[in-house]
Amino acid sequence: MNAGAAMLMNLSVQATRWAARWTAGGEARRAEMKGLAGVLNIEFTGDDGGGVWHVSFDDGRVVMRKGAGENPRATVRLQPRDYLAMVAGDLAYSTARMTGRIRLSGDGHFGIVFGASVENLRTAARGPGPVGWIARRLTGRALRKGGYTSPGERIPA
Amino acid sequence: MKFSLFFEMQISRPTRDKEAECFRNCLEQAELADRLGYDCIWEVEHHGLYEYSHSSSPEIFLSFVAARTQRIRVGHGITLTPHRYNHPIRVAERIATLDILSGGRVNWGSGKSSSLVEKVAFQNDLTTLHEQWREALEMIPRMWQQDVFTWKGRFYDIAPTQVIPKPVQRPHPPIFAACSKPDSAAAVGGLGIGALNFAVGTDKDLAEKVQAYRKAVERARPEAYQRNMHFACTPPACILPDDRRACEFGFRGARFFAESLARYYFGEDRPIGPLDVPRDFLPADELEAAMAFRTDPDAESSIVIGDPVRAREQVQRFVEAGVDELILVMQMGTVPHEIILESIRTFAERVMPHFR
Repeated sequence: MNAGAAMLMNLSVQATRWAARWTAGGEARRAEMKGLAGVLNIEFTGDDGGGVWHVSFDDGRVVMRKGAGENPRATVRLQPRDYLAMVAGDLAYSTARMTGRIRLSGDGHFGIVFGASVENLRTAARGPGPVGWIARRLTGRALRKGGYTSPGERIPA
Repeated sequence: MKFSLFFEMQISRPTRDKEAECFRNCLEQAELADRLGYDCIWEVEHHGLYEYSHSSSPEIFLSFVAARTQRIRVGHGITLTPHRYNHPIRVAERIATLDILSGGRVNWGSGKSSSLVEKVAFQNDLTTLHEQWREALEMIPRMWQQDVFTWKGRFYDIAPTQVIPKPVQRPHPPIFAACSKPDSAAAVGGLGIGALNFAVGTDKDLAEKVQAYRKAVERARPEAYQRNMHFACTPPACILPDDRRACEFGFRGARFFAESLARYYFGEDRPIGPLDVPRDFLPADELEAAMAFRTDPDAESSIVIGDPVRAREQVQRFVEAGVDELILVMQMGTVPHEIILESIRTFAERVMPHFR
């Protein structure tokens, strides 16, 4: 498994824990996610080995963990280098979907959730202040670790 | 199968002139659709979603469409009903007026909004948007049917009031709701109203979603309104005689549509100014990959892009899933007006007849 992609996914695992504990506006977010229930599996495939994470939604509560979730409502499959390109801003999520670089089985709404998780990472890295600075540093480190060089230099790798 | 058009009033890199031109162009597209036999013009309501949707007053645009057309229906897809956006009495009054003036051609969809941009701008209580929508949904159809309307609920306490005028469609215009989550379609079905399904999946998944919706509608016993069993999908669409040209414009437009939607709906910020989204044509290798993937077994039923032969194949997948209406999203920010007109014509002449 690509070390950079694994680092970003593990950071996302931590982020869902932090969001559940500390983030302001949690009540509004839970209200937005109310009624959303199920498991999304995210499978990385490719020459450098695979890896699986899952996100479970339970009526406003979102938890991400390493490993496959049981009875997934949807599964997203992609190569780590495409994930890194999306995080770097060099590959649009929609382009990855329409060209088949992301394969989705199951409910399309959960595929949107995966796109949202990438967008949230990018939003954090665009943001001002210490949170934005930390997000840019971590994202840049993960891209370097993954051997990814961003041609667009949107996030310094 | 019904075929309709969907309008967001999208504009890539807007100026005041381009914005005004977009509205005039959309009107011309709607008039052409009326002449060519499309079923409905659906329009969204959004506020402040720069580039993605400049359609903040759909009731005005739809009344223009109604005045300039003969037979096509006019649909709100959707009206935002939390009360900071629109008070339910004003919604009931406006829809009834449009129904009278259009000669009973209104479809009415409702929803609660998803973008932080508009939720925050209108100072909404973010935790009760769903409940506000549900209460308005119970109220508005009653206003259309009762001579004197009275209400005591969680958000509204309305003294006896004569809500006028009444719509000409009896008992009221057909009612729909937006479906933006995995189980929304079944939930909307449980309310006994039409589903405007904004995301899709594989053929099998879409078929299961339609079945779950229909079962839920059959069980529904709404008290305030007439049941409406109707499942619609909203695929990005561009249909031109030449397959590659259709894909050049169609995939570029679909990508602009999806990426700008993602900026407003998925990020936890409130974007201001031009969006950081791709607008160019897809590079040749990506275009060819996208063209090839359309027929891959893993490809979702999510687009109608290509020449008429490909478009018929893609529409057939929606037919087999049990979908009642395709609300084609041809008006995408990077697609020129002339291409949209050509797409509207090509689809009407060379695709629609095969499904009627």
